[in-house]
Amino acid sequence: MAEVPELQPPELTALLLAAAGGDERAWRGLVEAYGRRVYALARSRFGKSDVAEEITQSVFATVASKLAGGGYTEQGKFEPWLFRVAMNRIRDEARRARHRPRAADPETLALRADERAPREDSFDAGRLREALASLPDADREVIELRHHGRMGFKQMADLLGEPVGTLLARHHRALRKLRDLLGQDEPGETRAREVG
Amino acid sequence: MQPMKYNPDERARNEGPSERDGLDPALLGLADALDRAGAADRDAMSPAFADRLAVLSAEAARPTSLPIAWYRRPIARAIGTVAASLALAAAVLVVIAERRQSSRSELAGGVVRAPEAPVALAQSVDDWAEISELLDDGLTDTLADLSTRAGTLSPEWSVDEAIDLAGEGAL
Repeated sequence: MAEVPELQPPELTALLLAAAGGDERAWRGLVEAYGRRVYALARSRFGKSDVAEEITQSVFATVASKLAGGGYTEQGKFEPWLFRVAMNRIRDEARRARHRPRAADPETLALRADERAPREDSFDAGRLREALASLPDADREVIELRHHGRMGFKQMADLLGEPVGTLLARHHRALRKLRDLLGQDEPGETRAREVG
Repeated sequence: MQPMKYNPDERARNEGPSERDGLDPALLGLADALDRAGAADRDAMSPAFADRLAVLSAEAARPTSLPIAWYRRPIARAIGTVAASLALAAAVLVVIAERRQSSRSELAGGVVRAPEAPVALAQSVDDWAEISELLDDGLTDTLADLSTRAGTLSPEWSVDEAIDLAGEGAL
């Protein structure tokens, strides 16, 4: 599916204004621009579509109620604000999930098996998902915000309250950790780096 | 080791690997694989869910329908409080009036007289004193106000109708 282009400030402001009044068309626009990105964050974290839907719906309900109640004023920070709501909701769910007994969930297992289908590149998606799950939360968040949430580093800086340079370094470090977990270096690169 | 000058925001969001030259080359393939994994997770959201999400969000943003919306607004809440007080007072009035009517019927030697307007029976000073004792002090003003209006109640009205009328502000 083709990615939806980013909403530009005047368009976003108009959409938010209409959405605050309960305009369904405006909400369709916001869902189109942000719904899949929030959903992907949750799906990557929990590997289950129903949980991802529940979280996405909860995030949008919170956003809708805040917009309608004047709890958010558009100042060019909508995306970081929306993703902050999403991250908080995901962290809550992750905390709850830690206390639940782990079961071999059929959907998750099927998802991973399906993703193990051979691909052209050397990273199979199932292993990638497992390795991602082994990363510390802070590293995982940066990667998922960037690659699943499609956030820009400037927006991530607003969201996480860190300088862009720090986040670039964190992202780079997290990628290296992930690559180490996968135990899969591209030919010659690591050795060349280590020697260099 | 190559210097890290990877700045993904300087490129388009869906660029190919050739645009990632600034990133440590050892990580290019991994970054691409992550992009694909992210795209797969985004595409996994069903159109039906997207549609439902838009509808539910729009509903959540709309002002709540009456009467809850009224209740949420301070002025409406005050009106609701007065209406509830009126309903309570009207109910008490009718009950007391019915008791008095019953007593009078008994005093009349078992002859049941034609019903009088029950609320009109409660308009004497004694009745209001009795009612005031039964209710909180805070309702005295409401009762005093009601006393000037109670005569509008018809003898045929039931307690429930009186409560309904009070709730609608008819009293």
